[in-house]
Amino acid sequence: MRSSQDSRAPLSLKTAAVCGLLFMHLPILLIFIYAFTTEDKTYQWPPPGFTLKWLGVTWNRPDVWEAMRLSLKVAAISTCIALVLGTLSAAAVSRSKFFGRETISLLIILPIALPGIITGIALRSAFSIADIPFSVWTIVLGHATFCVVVVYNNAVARFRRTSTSLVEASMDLGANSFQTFRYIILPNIATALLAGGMLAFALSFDEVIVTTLTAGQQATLPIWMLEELVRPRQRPVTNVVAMVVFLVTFVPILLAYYLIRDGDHVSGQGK
Amino acid sequence: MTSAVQFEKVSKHFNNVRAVDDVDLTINDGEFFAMLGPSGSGKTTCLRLIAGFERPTSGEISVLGEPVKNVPPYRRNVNTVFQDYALFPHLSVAENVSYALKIKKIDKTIRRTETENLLDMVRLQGYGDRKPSELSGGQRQRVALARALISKPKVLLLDEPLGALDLKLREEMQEELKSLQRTLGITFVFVTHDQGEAFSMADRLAVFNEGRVAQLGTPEDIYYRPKNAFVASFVGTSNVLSKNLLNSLGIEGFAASLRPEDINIDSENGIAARLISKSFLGSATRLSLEINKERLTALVDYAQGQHLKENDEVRVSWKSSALHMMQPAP
Repeated sequence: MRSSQDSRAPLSLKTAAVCGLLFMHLPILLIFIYAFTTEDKTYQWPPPGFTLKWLGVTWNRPDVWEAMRLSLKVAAISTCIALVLGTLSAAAVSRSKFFGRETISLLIILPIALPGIITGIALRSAFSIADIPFSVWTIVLGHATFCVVVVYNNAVARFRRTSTSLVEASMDLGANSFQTFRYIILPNIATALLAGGMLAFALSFDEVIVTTLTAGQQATLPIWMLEELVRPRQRPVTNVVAMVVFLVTFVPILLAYYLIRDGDHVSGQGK
Repeated sequence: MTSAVQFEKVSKHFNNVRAVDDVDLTINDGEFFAMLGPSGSGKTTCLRLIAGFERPTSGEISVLGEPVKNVPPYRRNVNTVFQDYALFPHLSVAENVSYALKIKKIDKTIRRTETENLLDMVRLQGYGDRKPSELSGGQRQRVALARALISKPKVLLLDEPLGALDLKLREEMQEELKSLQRTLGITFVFVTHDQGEAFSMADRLAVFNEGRVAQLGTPEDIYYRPKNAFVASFVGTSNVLSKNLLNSLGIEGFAASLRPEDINIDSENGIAARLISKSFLGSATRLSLEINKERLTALVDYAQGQHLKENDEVRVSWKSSALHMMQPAP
């Protein structure tokens, strides 16, 4: 009895925690509310009225669709690249010892610690030196630099928890490297890859800085939104899009969270 | 008779460490062979060389008469029971056991009957649908055994498979492994650091020390006729009599081993010794003696040790045949 009372937080601390959480999350709610306002020039509070017409307007705006398509395409391709490269480098770093292993591990993780503006400027000048025209692919390359990190981190953690004797056992029972990867390694790292892939997708989907610096004429969804805010035209459309972006990125992150959490029960060892 | 496994001048170096150093060894077809030694003595590396997980730095290994230098682990007719069992955590017990058959693309119905047979053999009927995490240590051990035996290997390698089990279970499994090996008639190569385990199961054993085979022989050979001081002290509690002590007793030789149970308390003649301590072991009494400043351990009957007190002067003797002369360590 006593210990349960002792472990209870005082009211003041609880209030502070609730206020803090509200402060972080109320503005998101505001965005949702403005998506349904009848007023389209300024953000007036309280909204003079509510309407669903902006959903329809957004649906019929081709520029929204174009930006959405580009964002999905970039996110999908960079996630795929990240999955392949991230898994391979994680396998190399966690499974074998070689000269400069720690350095390589650090270099792989670096892009996510580096401010996006630096990654962006570096890539931009590299592209112009190499005479590579800006295109979807330059955006994809830019995004891949930090998407790889997310997949790599997830995969490395799982590889470390998976006993190396599993691979040897599989070889011992007649499986070659390909079969061992297919039947033993992949199922054991699958949830980690899925989680890493989803995080990578979400990161790529709402990235602005690197995208701005590596894009040519193309606008991904976040870039399109920034432009809309600068030159307002049917303002609530931006809010509708913001709502969609929120859902598209929030759901994978939530799923990834649950996958990693459940993954903790999947131990790689027979002990 | 062909040999199951043959080592010819095999060495394995890791950087500057000679894990296996110039080993010559022949393991006969159908025998229960133990590799005994302290940790770091090279016994596990030898096993991994046979399985193909490591490649020798120099020398030649043959399995069933065929050199295996360029044969990868998945093409060797050898299977392994791993120390940590290495059961696949995402597969059920039945899927674990039938893994080798699935890789060989064997028909599903045959796979199922074979798996059933193997699970019967290790007394795990009805456990097929469980996950390894739902089994006890002893059951996991049996699954690992069934999984390694399903493709009918000619040689089964066991890497300290009983290490993680408690004493009672370990003794049961020792007997079970022994009878299994008799029934199947295949070669078992068993790595252990526990001399009791090696003695109770093996037909022959090799005692490893610092990457070399210190002695190769039957359990009786090794127990009663240790070739050198390392074997004598590692295997059980044999006394090692140094050159000085031997000379002071008027015996020529480098060193000799003497089993504690071969020392008798003799009130009339014999060698003068001082009793340092005694401990009651139930059926016997263990005496710690000092002769010429060297310690010896003796095991005597309860009746013989009953009246002795610490610091007593006693006289001890042994039959000359009990003293076994040894060579310098290899």
